[in-house]
Amino acid sequence: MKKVISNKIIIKKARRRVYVIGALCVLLVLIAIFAKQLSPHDPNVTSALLIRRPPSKEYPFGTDSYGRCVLSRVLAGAGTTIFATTVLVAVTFVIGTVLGIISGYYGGLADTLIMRVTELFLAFPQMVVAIAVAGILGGGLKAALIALGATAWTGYAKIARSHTLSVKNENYIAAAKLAGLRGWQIICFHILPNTLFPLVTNALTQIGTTMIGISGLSFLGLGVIPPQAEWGSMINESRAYIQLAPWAVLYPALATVITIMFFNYLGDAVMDLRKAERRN
Amino acid sequence: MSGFIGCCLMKKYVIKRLISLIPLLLILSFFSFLLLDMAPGDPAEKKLAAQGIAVTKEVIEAERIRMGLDRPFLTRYFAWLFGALRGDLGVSYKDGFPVMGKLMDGLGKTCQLAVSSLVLSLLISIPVSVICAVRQDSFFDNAFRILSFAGNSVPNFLISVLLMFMFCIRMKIFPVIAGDSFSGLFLPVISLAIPMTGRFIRQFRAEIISQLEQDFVTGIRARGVRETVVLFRNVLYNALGHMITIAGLSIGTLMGGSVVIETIFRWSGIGKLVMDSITARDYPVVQGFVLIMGVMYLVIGLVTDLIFVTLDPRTEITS
Amino acid sequence: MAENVLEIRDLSLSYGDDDIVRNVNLSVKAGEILCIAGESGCGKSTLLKAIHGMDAINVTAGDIVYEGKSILGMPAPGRRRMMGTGIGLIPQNPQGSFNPLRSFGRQMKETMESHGMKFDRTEMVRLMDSMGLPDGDKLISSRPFELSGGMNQRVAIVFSLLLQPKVLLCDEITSALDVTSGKMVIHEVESYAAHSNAAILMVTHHLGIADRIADTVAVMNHGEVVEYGPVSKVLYHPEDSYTRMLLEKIPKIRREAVS
Repeated sequence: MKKVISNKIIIKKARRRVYVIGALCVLLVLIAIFAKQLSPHDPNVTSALLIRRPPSKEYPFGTDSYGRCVLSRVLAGAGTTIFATTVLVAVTFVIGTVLGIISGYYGGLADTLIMRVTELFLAFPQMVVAIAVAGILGGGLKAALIALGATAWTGYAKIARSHTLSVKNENYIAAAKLAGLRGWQIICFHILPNTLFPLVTNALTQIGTTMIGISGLSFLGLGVIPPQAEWGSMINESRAYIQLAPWAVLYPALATVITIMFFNYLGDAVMDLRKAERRN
Repeated sequence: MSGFIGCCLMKKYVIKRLISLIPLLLILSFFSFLLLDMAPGDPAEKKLAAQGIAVTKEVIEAERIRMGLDRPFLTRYFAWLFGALRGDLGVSYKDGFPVMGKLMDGLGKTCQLAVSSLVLSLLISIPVSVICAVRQDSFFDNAFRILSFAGNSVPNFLISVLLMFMFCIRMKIFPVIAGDSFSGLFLPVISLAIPMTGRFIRQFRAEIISQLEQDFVTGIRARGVRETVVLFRNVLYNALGHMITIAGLSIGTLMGGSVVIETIFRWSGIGKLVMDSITARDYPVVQGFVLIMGVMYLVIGLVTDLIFVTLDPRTEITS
Repeated sequence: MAENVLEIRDLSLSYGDDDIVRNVNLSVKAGEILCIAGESGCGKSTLLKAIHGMDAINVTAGDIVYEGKSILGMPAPGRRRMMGTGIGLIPQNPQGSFNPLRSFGRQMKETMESHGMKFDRTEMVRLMDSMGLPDGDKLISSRPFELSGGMNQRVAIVFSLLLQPKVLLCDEITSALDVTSGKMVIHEVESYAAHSNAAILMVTHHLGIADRIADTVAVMNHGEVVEYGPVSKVLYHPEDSYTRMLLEKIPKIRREAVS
């Protein structure tokens, strides 16, 4: 028979992992925020003389087909990607949560209506909708975000609704009602804290998906409009010359992969922590 | 008890689902049609421009009347809808060919990609996830968890670019332009399969582990049942419904992913068709694409749900 | 009949960091019914779980000996063969016995096949009938989730008896049942012990059951056996204060109704 490891140790290790990877993610966000200060050159300045230069001291990541500094563009792209992702995740989080809680708490017609709409949006595959909408709206970051966001809010709505439903009939809710608390107060102080954890966990896992979506759309030319720096579009711009200037593809690719991995890992670590804590 | 009640409730469930499909299909069609209207600019003008015809006010006006654009929105919608029900999705702006025909051709090619990558992913992910779940925390498990995490975190367009660089340009094993050959199938399929396999391994493994942790597994083992029987005929059987649902849902991701892959490798599937149409402002094709893809997705969703409910009727019978 | 079928020698068990059971010595012979009584949390269920070895319980000291051979040292294949037909278990929780999604018949068949025995449907129907489940044939084709907890529990007992174990471990098997079904079940277990000469270890917090069918009784308190002996002695002339306190807790009416 195997020796059982104490659950407390598992929880401690899980918590430590969340802190470490969380700190790394915060670091990435800080790099993105201070991109301008950290860039050695202007990311949009082109130069016919400096086309496709290999990495050097002055241009640590080399230059691309337009003579722009790849490092500066990667940093600027970090800003674009992370900023866009944050906005999208935040907005879909709020919209989805609000709809979900309303649906679960008030029930009745609101519930049926919201659930139908949710099912409807879930019936579409995300990327297909995103491509079609972005394609017809003509591209641009805003269109891409709307396209991706159209289906992303449904996850939060479902989670918020199911958790609201499960606590709605608890005693302390009834007690709060008797004490005279109004609907929105009950929601804010009692229901919301309860359902916050799974919602945040979902948001963390959505970050990776959103980044892949944004860079995917930009890669196709349906997202960010060049010359705005974004990793997906950078990879697309430079892939024709990958043999001559592999660094122009490599560095944005690495940046994409590393960032997505960090945030995905954070989502995983938080979920593992929750599972371990629940077992106690 | 089981046979009769099960069958009766099942029929009700199927009918309920089929009925709920109708409004969804209607709204899908409405949305697809709306998509065209949302496009900035005038459709008649876009059509003429797509064909390369010089536009003047009179020409546009004539074209608008010919296209029936002067009629109210709902009239146009229903006309389009009835046409769609007969299989007529209009004609392409670019070359005048029927949209339905172009989409169907493309769909066939895309299905080759989709089915191949799905099969490949399942062939790898099912055995791996079973072994990982049974040998949790072993070297094999940890190694594959890391691999599947990595595979799932890399966007598939990136994998395609890297694969193309490595195999086509550097090592010259595969042709750069996939064309429609069999050897052209390899790299696109692998690009699609890698993230999918990663995702499948993670999710299947989690589901199998959750089944292994159920009380009944202990009970079955306590009766002295052979471990292979416990694993395959019970644990895996229970996990199957969930696994099929996951696989079915990833059809949607496949359809989205194929757009990128087909564009990169120039595989003449429906994805490449849509991208080319977007570039050429050939909106009827894009519109038909959304409709066809949406219908496919809904139907596949229904089928996977039915399979799930057959295997595990618990949630439906209790509700 | 002098040899012990099952012996528990100086057994100490822990779960994680906590000591659950300390220094337990018990034994049963063929045909003997031993009731292990005590309040919730005293470790009696943990004791049973250690014997059938399924849960992650650490044996910190002692041994469990079945038919003269130590269970703890047994290699896995031998242990598997012993499960069910050598040492059978009826778990407390009816959900813990069956895969909810596959029919009883199929599950029994594959259990039998794992032991090289043949699945006798008529015998199963007969046993189910004696447990108060008259539609045996239809029930065998049903799936566990379609039935109530009480019915599941009774089918679980049928399963265990069909395997004809030499030692039958019963873990609070009546707690999921109403009084009538409980009586049927206890009666069936008793007659099984009588005609097959199997040893029974019955864990229960219900002293009335012990009074009715036990040959020997062991009383546990906080992981230790505080009293152990023939039923006449333990229940009617208890030496330990804890035992006395337990007996005093039983309302008089129930004692008479069950005996």
